[in-house]
Amino acid sequence: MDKSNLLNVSNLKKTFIKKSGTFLKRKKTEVYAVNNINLEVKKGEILGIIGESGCGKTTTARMIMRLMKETEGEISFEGVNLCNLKDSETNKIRKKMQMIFQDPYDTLNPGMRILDILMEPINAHEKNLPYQAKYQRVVEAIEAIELRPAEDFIHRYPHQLSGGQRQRIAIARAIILKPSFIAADEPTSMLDVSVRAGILNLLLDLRKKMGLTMMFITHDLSTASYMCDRIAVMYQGKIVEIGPTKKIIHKPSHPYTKALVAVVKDLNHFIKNREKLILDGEVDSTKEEKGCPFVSRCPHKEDICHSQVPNLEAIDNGHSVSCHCHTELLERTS
Amino acid sequence: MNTVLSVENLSTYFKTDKGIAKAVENVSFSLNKGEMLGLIGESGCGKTTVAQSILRLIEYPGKVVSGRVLLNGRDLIKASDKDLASMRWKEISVIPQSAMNALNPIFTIGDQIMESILIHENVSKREALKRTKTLLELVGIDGERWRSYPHEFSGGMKQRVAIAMALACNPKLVISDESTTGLDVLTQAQVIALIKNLQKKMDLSVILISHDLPMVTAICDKIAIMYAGNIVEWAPTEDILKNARHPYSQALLNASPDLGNPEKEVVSIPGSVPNLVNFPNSCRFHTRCPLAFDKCRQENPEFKEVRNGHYTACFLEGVGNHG
Repeated sequence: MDKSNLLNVSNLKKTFIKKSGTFLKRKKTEVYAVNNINLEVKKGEILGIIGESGCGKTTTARMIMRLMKETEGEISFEGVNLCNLKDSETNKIRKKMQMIFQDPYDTLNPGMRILDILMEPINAHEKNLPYQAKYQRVVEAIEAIELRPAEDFIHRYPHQLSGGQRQRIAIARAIILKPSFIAADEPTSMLDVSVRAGILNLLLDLRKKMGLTMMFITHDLSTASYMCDRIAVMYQGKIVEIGPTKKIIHKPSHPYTKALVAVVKDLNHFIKNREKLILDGEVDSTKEEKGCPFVSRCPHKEDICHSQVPNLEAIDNGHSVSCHCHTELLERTS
Repeated sequence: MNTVLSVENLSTYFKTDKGIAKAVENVSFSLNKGEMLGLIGESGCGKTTVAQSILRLIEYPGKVVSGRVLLNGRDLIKASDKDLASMRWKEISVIPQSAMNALNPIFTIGDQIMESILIHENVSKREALKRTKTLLELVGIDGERWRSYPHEFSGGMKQRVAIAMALACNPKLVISDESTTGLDVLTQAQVIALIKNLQKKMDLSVILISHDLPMVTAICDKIAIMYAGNIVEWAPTEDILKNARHPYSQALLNASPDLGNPEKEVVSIPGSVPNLVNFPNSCRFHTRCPLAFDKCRQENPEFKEVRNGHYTACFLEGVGNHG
């Protein structure tokens, strides 16, 4: 295993059981939320995960954070396999990895002051510190997220803060234990455009100052391209393409990535060439896997796509794609 | 060119316990036939209130206190309820914000689309059904699916049904109120593509309300940018992109990342949107404006034309090049 990897995920799977039908004809179907994912996160990098809602981005992050048990697979963090740990050992690991959630209105307890909110992680993991030192940590964390002076904010309740400020507090809570890894799950999607940029820049700044490694989940390609060193594109529980940000943006190889890039890069071009880029179709994750998950919406499909699941193959240095036809597509476009 | 809609000095206030909230104040703009106008702003800036005022959907404690909304020369604000009812759907229609909630779950979509046709036009049920099927095909849904209930459709398809419904009586003006928010990126693009293509095909006038600046700049002919209840700038898209005059417009353009220009550093706007209850008579952006000076704190600048078709409200306009 590569030593420079902070996190290694291999063959990760998560299935949910979906119940349907009436009392006597009850049927249980397996839904693949995450289907055989392999990825690694190198020390100090920001890996972006993009995809549409329901594609398994958040489920992946929650499994890595141990907020959810995997069905199959292995997650190793700093060389430790997280999947076989006891609860008490998992709790110790949690100190090193933290999560920032999507909705800053839901994730802060409205009955607690900012001080209490930020004190909680310290009390959970570093109980024995004297109160003064804990207080000092809280002040430092608030200053690190650029809410100054910290004393102005420390005694407030969440409802006295704006959306952007709340998200900053959520970030402070994530960094207060000085973790090495942070998973940010759509941290800006609930915020207005004018505040969004501030949060993005803050995260970039924190990574530089604290040497953080991040997993950045988003559905917005332009945000991902601003934040991330590498991007993994997910579709229906699978990684369909992964590679350095520049490659993904300038040389997208999977038809799904191509459509995504086309939409963001030049919407007018997309509108004119819609049929060539993507077909109207439904996302149905309950279907048995036989062929490529994208086949119902792919404009370039061939016979093999219906019968065989494509593997993630390396096409370039660090750039992999999971598509039967990517070589022909490349020739056709160039 | 013939003007379809012209909004003149529209103000809508809401009564609250703490005083009067001037949710929309002195908003003026107009829309030509076959034109697509993007109405942009952050949440709470009054975009939807403008749309609701145009459609006379404002309810207590809100009230349109002044202004005119002329649709083909007729003032919607003064129109009687009966006149208004006959104009809705036929001349002006809405694609609502979340189609998931806009459709009635216990009726088939065919029934729902037919309802507005049957009310407004003197046609037989068979004729109405035929038109419903054509409408569904127009938005890319199999006509035979008129028997389906809303829950049988995905989010993007429900949105298409909502579009079909808005077009049911051949309106001249369609207001799309954040109709793609909440959909996935690709579905969103497909719905937008549909609206754009239909607009061209049917020569519709469209007001596209959105907070997604890149999307709006890509497809709209003109853009109006709102901030805290005022339109701060209104101009052809090209002018906004290349020569935005108002500090808020400039800041907004700098706030979102751009795929085509990865080196661009995004900058946030400091501060937050002011509370509009009992807001003093000053420029509404002055608390966050890097260029604000004394006058901005005492008066609200007039919304005026600075160049051909380019309107803005800023005291710095004409003082010198601040852009």
